[in-house]
Amino acid sequence: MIKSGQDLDGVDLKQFLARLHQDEGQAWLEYDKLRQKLVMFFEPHFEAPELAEEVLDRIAKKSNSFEIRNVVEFAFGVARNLRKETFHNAPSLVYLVNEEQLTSASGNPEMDFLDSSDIARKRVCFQRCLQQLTPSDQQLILNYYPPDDENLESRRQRLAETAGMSWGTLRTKVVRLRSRLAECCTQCYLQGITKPKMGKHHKEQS
Amino acid sequence: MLDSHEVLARYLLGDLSDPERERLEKEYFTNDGAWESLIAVENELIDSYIRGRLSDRQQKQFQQYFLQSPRRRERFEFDRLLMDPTLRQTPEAASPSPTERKLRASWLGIFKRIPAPQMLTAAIILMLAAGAFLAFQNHRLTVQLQRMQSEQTTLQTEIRNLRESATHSSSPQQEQANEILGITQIPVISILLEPGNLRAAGSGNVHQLPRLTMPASIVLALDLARDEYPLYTIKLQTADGHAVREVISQRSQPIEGGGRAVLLKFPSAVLPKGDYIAWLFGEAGNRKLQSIDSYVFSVVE
Repeated sequence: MIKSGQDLDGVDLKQFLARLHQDEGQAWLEYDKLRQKLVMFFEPHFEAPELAEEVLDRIAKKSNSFEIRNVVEFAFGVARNLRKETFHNAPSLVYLVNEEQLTSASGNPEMDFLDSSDIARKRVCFQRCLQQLTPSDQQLILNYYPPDDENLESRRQRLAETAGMSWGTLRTKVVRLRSRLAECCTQCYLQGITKPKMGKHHKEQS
Repeated sequence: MLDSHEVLARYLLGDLSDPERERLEKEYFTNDGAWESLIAVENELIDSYIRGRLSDRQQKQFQQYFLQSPRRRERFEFDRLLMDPTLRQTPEAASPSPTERKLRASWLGIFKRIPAPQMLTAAIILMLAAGAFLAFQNHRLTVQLQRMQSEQTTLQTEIRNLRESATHSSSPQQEQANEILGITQIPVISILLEPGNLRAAGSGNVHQLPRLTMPASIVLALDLARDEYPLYTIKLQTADGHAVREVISQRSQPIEGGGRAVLLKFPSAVLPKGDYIAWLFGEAGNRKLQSIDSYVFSVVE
């Protein structure tokens, strides 16, 4: 069973953050980003977040005298080892299964997911979080993801021109806006219907 | 060098060889540009799936591999909301941008300078234009309303058909429909599972379940050593890690002979022959999951 890294003590965490960056605020941003990379690394394993925590935990527990030249590269190495350990130990038995039937309970993951979710609440959260973006950012993200599919690429290209940005800058800005919005929605959903706040570590950097 | 959109998409769909995958992983760990590209491609992949723009092969990989991750499922659902036309508002209508405010102010300035007779003519023209616009909007809304009413009728017909077919059928989809609609004419088979560990899967000491040929509902009762949480989450997966079903916020139930268990109910067709693990989690505050135990069982012919 994978142990969650939530039991890191304050000293370990402080040392770890100091290894990432001298400035504490920036160190938290780096920590968040590293964690996201680790989760992506272990996906689609359903315990990906716990495995990511385990990697962070192992690095944080290294004593200060243990020299780590590049924390991110080191984390990659630890993650690679953990993946070998985990995937080598757990599914040592390989079974032939009908994957089409196992994709989900009904054969349609989309429906399963929608069925199991409290959609109404998520819709309320979405609208509330959207309202927290500036009107121009709301307009930008909604225009980037229109409900219809017609001339999508050229419309996005025009959107970049109208906003006075290059295509790459627009894409990066939308990715960040989307992350903020998604994070806000998740917080809102988990907290119940209270006033969610956009993440303090995720101020728009563009 | 940054990887192409195609390579990144293949990575996310689990379609790269091991060496290719490791090279790409190292790249996005150490290069933030590569990481941002990967995130952008992840978003675009979800976007393309929702818009039906993936090839058949990619669509299958998306469903069978990509969507196995709970985080990506969350993203997927979020994107559906993002593209939902019913959730869209026009923020610029509510609060004009500074540019628009300037524009409006300059129009007002022009009106102030126009002499009274011309102003009257302008007012009439404006009223006619506004009337035409309102008539057009009214027509558009009427058409929209008619379309929504028609969709509602179709939906009701579909639900009625589903109910009817569910009472006369036995396919996995229809078993699922039975379950959703609360029709419980099919037999229910309950099995009590005791906690075990992954090693037990290879030792032969595993709960065995005969594969059922007739439609039935299976209830797995996960025996609790201690009932310490108000709510529980169960994640059922195959031995090689494929998610089969997840149920959240379940309360424990008393079981025959004393003790308590958490129940997971599903149609028998969900489980073909193979080995399975049910992971049990307790839901602490803020729905934070605490791992409690795993329950191993096999479906045999």
